[in-house]
Amino acid sequence: MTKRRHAGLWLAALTIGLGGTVAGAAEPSAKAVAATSRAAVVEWDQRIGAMASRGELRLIGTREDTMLPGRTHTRFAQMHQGVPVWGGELVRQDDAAGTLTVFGSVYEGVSLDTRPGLGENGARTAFLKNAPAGSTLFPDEATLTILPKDDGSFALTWRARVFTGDDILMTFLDATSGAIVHQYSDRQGQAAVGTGQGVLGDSKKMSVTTQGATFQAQDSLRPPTIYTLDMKGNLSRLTTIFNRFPSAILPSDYAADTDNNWTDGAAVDAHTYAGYTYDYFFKRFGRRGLDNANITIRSFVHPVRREDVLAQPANIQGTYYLNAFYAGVGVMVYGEGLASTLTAGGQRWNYLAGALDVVGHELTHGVTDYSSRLIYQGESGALNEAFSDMMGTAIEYYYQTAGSGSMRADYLVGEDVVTAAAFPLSGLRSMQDPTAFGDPDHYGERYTGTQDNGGVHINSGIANKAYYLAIEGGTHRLGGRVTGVGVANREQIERVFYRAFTVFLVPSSTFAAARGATMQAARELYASNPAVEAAVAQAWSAVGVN
Amino acid sequence: MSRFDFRPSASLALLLSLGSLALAQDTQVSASGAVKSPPGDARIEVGLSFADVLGTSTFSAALKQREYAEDGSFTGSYKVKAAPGAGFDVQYNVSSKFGVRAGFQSFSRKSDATFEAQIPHPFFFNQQRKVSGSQSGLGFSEKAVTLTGVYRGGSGKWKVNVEAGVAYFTVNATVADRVNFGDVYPYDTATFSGVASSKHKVSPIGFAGGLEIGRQLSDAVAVVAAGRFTGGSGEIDVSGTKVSVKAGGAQGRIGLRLTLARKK
Repeated sequence: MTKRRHAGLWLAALTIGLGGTVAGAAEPSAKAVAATSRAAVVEWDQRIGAMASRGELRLIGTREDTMLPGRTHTRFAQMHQGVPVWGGELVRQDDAAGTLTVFGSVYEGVSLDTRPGLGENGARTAFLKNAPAGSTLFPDEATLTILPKDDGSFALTWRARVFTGDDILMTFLDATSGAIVHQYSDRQGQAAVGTGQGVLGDSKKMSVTTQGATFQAQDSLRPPTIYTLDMKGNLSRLTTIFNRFPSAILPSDYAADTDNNWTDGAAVDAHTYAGYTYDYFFKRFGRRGLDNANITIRSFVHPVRREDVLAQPANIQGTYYLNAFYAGVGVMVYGEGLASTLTAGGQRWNYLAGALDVVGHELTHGVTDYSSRLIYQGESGALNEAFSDMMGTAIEYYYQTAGSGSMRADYLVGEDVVTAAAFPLSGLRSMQDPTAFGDPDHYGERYTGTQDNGGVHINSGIANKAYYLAIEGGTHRLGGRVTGVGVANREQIERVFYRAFTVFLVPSSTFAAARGATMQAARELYASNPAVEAAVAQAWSAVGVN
Repeated sequence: MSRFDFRPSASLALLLSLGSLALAQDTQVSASGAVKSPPGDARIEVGLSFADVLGTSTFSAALKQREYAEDGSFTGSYKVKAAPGAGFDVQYNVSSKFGVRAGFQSFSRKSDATFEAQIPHPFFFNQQRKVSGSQSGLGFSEKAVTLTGVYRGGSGKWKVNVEAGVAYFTVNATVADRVNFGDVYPYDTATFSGVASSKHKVSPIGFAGGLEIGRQLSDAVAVVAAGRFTGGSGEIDVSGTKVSVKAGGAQGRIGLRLTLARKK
């Protein structure tokens, strides 16, 4: 699992942060009209006439009743000085004898000046300035609108629906300042929970959204929206999206299912494990997502087709088949793996999204990106990788039963989807014994070459071993005895390393800095329990980091 | 041959409006207080009573509740409270010792219920959250038509009736179909926020029995007090689950018994 960044996506990352949303406000109160009695109907009939004559109502249209012949329904929009009042509307039912009912809502006491300080062109510019890059106005117009506010006052706004690529945001801008006054998603959908089978055949729940007759992999139950997108083997589609992210995303790009019983294991696992990872960081550390501000998480599956692997160049095989990567701004891409008849490196490769620790690993790169921003090269890069391995493994232990084999928590990385064939071991790395995969477990044996960005996936074994020893304890093969905190207290070490890596480390931090940071974190978190700091210190010493 | 000799006074009319029950008499007292010759045995009597279900009854319902693509469950324990009601009957006396009585009784009771629910987690199978709460004032109305045989006893102005027979109930019970709950991220707990309920009707056949003691006020009117017990049980279908409910119970009654016709 290498961490690769796509240039186009990074450009998007620079601008996406500008598109803040305003929390949806409760509906302002309005005078509800439900005139059904003769007296009330007569009164409202007269009021409609009076309001219309004063220009306070504008006829929207009249429609024949398709259920009760002879009846018509006439709608009126509430206006103030020629500007519509958002939500103010009356509908009158008539038959040949006259008015039968009047229903609707009318806002009273509207008195503001309707001359905008911002012209329509200026408003259009402001809408796009306030939206993610690549957004468009949908439809292509901005409408001056009086917005009733929660406090009973009214605001003169420009209103437009902003299409961001994966959402349609009904947006109201202050008609003078251009600031967002109110905004909500106008993409019609409803949260739903379905079931799915993961890559390994296990059943799990899918938090999705209904869109008409289909279900989309859009988790609306967690604080950040978590999307899973199915590229259906179309790598050029993925490239298009990355180059115009996220505006190029179309509804058809989302993983979808018709009966909410999901059978695409890669989509199921990418989607559910992203949620599990969010939950872990929230429950363990109180962190709200990758950026601690609930950035949207998007997972891409099936970037290529398995059957095409032998026709693909090595770089495509290495990136989109035998790899998973965090691409920045909350985006993960999970490799397709190989058909069961093929091996790579003497191992079989299933869909990379099918391993909880792999998903946790990739999302942790996002946490690093929004915290220490460890440079992905040399020692800092190895620490970056190691932190992802640590958290991926911690997430496994949080959700799975400890043990060996499929879907068991252990100190192997990726063992659920990269399994032994000619090579006798499953997984990509071992935190317990990095040397089993040829990685160093001691600073004195670190890789100093230039491959792998200076050994970011190689030297991670050193920090991984320290993490393992701090929990489990034991004697390093080169000497150095560690009294670990014990498996029952693994949370202590998780918290120590999380705090150190997200709070104290900087982009250029070294192993030595990581030692100091973790010891400081241990002192702060467990001041009354010096055994934690001792375990951390002994573990780093055992791997040769002093 | 029978005669109709009931002429209610204003106060009696008030009592009748309260729904009282009376016992037949065989001694008639005139307005002047002079004892007339004993009238014939009562042939047809009408009882009007104010009644009260004295005790409570209980029933429970264990139902499935599907949430978040998984079956959860909840159990509602209902306690149907005592409540006032009214009774009316017509009695035909076959002889001086025996009669048959067709009666009607109606009670509008309320039930208080407690709920214990296991609500599935939105993200994980088999991580159900316990939710509990209560709801009061759920409707439980019951009506019954009874057909009983009556043994008539007593002495002088005091009369004793013992009855036993069958009862045909109609019960309308408001039962929870689901527990409403609130949950927010991370959804590891949920809170009770009421129930969604619906009315369910069942018409069981049961029994009725009672002891009634009365004292004649006139040859047409007696004031009576009675202890009565009716009982029956039936099953209602709540979301496909059979729920057994009980109807009736011990009652106390007071009222008037009016003699409408006598044998010569």
